[in-house]
Amino acid sequence: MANPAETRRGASEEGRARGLLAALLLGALATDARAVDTMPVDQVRPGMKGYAVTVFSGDKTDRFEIEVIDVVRDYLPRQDAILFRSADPRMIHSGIVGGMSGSPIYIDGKLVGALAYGYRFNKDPIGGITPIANMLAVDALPYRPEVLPHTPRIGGQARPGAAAWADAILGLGVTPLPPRRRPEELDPVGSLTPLGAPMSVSGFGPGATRLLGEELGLVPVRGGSGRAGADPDAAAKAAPKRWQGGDSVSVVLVRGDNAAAPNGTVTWVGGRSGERLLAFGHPMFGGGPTSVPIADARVHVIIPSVDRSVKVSSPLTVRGALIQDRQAAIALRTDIQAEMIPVTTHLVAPEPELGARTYRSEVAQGVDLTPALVASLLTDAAEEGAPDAAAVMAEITHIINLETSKGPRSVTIRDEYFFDRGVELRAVGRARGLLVLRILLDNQFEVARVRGVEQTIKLAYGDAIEEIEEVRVAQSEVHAGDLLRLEVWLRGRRGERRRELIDVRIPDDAGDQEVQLQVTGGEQARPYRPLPRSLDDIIDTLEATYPARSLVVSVYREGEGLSTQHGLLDSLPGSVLESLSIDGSTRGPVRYKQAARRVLPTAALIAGDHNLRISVLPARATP
Amino acid sequence: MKRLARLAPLLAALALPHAATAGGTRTHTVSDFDDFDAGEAVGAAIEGSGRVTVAYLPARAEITAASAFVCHAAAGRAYIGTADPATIQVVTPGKPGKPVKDAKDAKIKQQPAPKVEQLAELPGVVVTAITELPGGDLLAATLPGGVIHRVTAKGKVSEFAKLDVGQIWAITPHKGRILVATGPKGELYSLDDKGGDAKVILDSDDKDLLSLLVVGDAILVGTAPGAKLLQVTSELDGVLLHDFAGDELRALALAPAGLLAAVNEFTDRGISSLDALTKNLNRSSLIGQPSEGISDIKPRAVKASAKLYHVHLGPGRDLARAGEATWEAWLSKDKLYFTDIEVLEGGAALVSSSFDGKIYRVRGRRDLATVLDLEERQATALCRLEGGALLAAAGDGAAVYRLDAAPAITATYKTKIFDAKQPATYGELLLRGRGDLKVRARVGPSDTPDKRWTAWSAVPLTREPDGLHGRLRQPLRRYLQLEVTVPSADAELREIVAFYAPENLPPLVKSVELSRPEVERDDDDEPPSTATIKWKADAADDDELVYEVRVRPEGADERQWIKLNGDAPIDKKELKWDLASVPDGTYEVEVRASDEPSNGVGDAGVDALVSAPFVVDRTRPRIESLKVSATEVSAVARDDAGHIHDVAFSVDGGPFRAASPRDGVFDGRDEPFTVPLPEGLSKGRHRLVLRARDAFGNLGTLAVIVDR
Repeated sequence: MANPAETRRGASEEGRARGLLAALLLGALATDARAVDTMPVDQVRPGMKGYAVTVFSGDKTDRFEIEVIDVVRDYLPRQDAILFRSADPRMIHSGIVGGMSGSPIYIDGKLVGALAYGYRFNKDPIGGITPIANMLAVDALPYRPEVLPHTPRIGGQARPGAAAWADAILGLGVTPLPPRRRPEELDPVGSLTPLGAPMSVSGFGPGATRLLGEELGLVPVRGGSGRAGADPDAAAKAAPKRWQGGDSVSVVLVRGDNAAAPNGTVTWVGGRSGERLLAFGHPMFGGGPTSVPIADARVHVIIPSVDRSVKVSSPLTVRGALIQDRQAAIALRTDIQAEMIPVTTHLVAPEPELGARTYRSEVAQGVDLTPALVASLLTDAAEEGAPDAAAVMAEITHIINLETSKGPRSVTIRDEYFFDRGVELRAVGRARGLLVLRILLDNQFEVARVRGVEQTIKLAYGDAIEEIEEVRVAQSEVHAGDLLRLEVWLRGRRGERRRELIDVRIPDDAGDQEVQLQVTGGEQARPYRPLPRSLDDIIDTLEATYPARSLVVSVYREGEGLSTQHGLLDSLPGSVLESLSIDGSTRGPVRYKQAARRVLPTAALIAGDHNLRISVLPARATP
Repeated sequence: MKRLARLAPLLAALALPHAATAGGTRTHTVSDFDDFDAGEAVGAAIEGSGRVTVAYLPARAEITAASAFVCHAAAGRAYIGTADPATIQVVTPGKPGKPVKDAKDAKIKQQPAPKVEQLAELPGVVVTAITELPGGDLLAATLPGGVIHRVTAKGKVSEFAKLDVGQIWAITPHKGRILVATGPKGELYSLDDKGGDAKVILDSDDKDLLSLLVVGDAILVGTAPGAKLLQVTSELDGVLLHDFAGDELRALALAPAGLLAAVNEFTDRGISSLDALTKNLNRSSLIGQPSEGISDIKPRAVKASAKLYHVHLGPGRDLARAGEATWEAWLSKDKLYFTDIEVLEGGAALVSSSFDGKIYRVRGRRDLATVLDLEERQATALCRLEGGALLAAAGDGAAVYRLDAAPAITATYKTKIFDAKQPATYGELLLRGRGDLKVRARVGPSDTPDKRWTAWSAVPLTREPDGLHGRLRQPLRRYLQLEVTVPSADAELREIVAFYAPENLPPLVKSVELSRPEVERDDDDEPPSTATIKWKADAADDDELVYEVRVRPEGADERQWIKLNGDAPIDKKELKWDLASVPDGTYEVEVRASDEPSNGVGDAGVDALVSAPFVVDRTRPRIESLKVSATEVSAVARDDAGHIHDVAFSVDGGPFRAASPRDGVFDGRDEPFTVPLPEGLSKGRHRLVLRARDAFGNLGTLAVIVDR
């Protein structure tokens, strides 16, 4: 066995020589993708030797040697995997490194593919190569700016699409448990797994970082600065970048005061002026057509790990856009710029001495991606504002500026939460404004263009919450037309009880009927709304809520109304109601029980939902 | 317990499956109006007497909307207001054609359909009211809101007036102004012909003014939910003419001799569905309606009832009589509501209804008929054009029918689906009526005809003195439907009787128990010797059951059965039996159930069940091995059939006191015991009575003289 030191030196020298050759070769190839000499996977044999190109530190590429172990046929659908081993001492020390995804691998000077897979907890630097032919197929896919990518890996919802957010906003079928684990997480050791793109994060606290990593399914690496790239002037002044295989590349998900940028390596450069890049050798989210900024990156260091070593990197300057996110590669274009959404996050911390703080960032666009990234910014502010375990009230306001087909509008969503043992970040991440953001991007009518989000979290120590303990009706007989006095007993967190007297008018025509009285908090009751005909209708419905700090008293009647796309039809005569309730169709107006409501402002949040059914006697005889 | 299998019926069934297992004979009968009205008629009228005669043959034209809601007749055309979308359709009925027979199958060819063209689409869910301005423009109102739209002949829509109301239910011109009946404040507005000068001329206590009728100078409105008939006067609250029992006065019409009112009553819906409806509304208000849907398109019987009332106004149409004369109920129907009334030239009134698209013709209290049965689920509106053409609008599947396109030359009547409860053998068919009636029959295994049903097959009929007879040669099936063709205007169908015998299901005896009085320690008498035999039996097919009960010593042969029910079977499920009528021993009781009363001796099904063995013990226990001393008496209580239940003693005629068994428990046939004499017993001679009781309550006593 060779002396490691000699081997390292030898590899370094050979690497420099071959690097020069490769630079020349890639420089030439960069002007025309078809000039790249590639080796089909069929020609790859066990024992073949070659090298990989990647950045170990800084922004200069380097090489390490590899030897083909074997070829695994159909490792993925219509995609083989080439197993290799590296004898490079650096690789023996660190194993296959997250962030090397996409590192081009050459055998006999021909591009074989990209380093893309590895084994976790591996003892030897054994990895997998995605064949270049599969990657080039991704390059052939067009840029689709009209598509907002839907990335099923994000979020872990039990039900797809609109059903999921409707469940969440109505409080149905939601669970405080974290998302289910993805299959690749269940058996991390037994098979080749994508190296993944280590996501450099900065400006995020540990809790928000963990949630962001969980939400996106990426390994967060704290320590990489993300400020670069946020300044458009700096980007304009930056020298043009001439990309080459092995360069470090970051996908910019968040930039500004907070930053998150998964990092990997460029495999292939093509196009007439080197504007077409392929990287990673595996998907990032697998969202297909995408439009997210990319930046060149500087590698600070490789952190060796028993589990998986990662590169710590920072994005430098935005250089283009990720346009396709597919099984075999991500496709990048340097001649296309991707829009980001500005997000301003205000924090009013419970300690006045901390003062109000404002963070300005931009997030990438995507049906699931944008809400997840905006949520991460909010949870970060919440974490910063109240990292302790004291009882705290959180008032969250979202102002979302958007455009629908009917023009620009602004949506304001407010909600309030009580946390008895410190802010629960996961709950903050499900704030109603964030759900609304998801609705705007994923509904049955149209995809709204989100122009900006301003979110504010005001935290205050305290427990301004009361639970409805009892609702009592003093009258033994209730007649139609009576003014009914309800005694509502409320209990605070410290056990203090108070009584609220609420007068409710029983409708004049409710004689001989049963009515249901409901007393609940403003968060638990929803105003009746008609069937939506457009996204704007849905937004109107979302904005129509009762204040969180209110008691809502509803009197439900036996009579029914109809909710239609043209409005609510209340108090319909029986024959009209029946005639308009279409039996022979799977679609039609939606029936509802008529209700009269009183909303009473309260000083505290109200929890609980009490219902009383009352048999109403005929109206009292007029004297 | 053991169940006795009865093989004879089974063997018979194998040999003659249909005949041998046929049950008691029953009939499906259709004879009165309600019976006939449960079926479907095409080109037929179902008279109130129960006769089926030839009537209209409707000509149908489809409308592209979910439902047609309102109809307004004009010269040579009609305007139909629809729901979802809210449109106005122009209907030109065309001239009635001549009835034509198809050469091949002799079926009636459909008359040319009315011509339907969309005039305009209006904002809203449904067009609720239409009227015509003198210049030919239309006024129309839609739900929700109080806007009255003006629609020109070319379909141009503009706002005519906007009222501060939630709903507009009726619009009609009156003396150069426009009357508008509204809700939910129960106001009647009067507007000028430009839509201005809006005045409330009636402000009722009720919510909705649902119907509106102008009679000469008088204005009448019908309300909901009070179902009141009000007359507009100079007073804002009008005059109450009549307060109907119901929830809404849906339609008003002027008949030759009086006034007609269609009144509907809806059963309260309850609030049990509140949670489900609210969740559904909240969800659908966010994500619309699901892309998947399911609809049950069986006719849905609503929880409603409807009545058509008539009041005689006298020769001068004295409206005051509407407030004092009797309103007669001319037509009453359950599980539906009425939607409209149209009075025909001859004075008869047609009433459209919600259920199964039925239209009734009414001439008086006893003169009523079902004249049309539309394909759609609801008949929503009627209107008669100048010149006599009559149109009916259909909802829940929008269409318009011309009713008087031509009288049908034949009519067909399909019965409802008859249910025999079991696969049945069908027999004689009897039709009573007039003319050369034709019948077809089909049978099937489901309550809705589908591909498993047989094809229609003609039933040959022969005329006999009591009617037309035929034989239903259908396979053994549970469900039957008949179709009768009434071939000409002078023919009629009055009654249908179909004989059938449902397959008999044998009864099942589920349990047999013998109960006797409880034995109590403090009883001083023996229990009565009567035991009660009780059993549970299920007829399975509603047959009447009778029972035979017999008893025999356990394990004895068949010849030793002793009948307990006398000569005739009994129909109660219990029998009193004197245990003293048999010697002591172990017995078993058998109960045999038979459905002979419903099926006859030859086809009766029988089931029998034998009880668990039980002991009859009328022998008293004995007291033996007596030993008497000055301080105690000892003896052995002994019984041959069961264990000793208790032992007691009495001194000098005093109350019995319990004695204790020597081994501490009364559990055997021989129970030694000792009775210590009471300590306070005076010296001298005393009388001691020992009493032993066995498990069945038999008492044995022994008197002893004790010297102390």
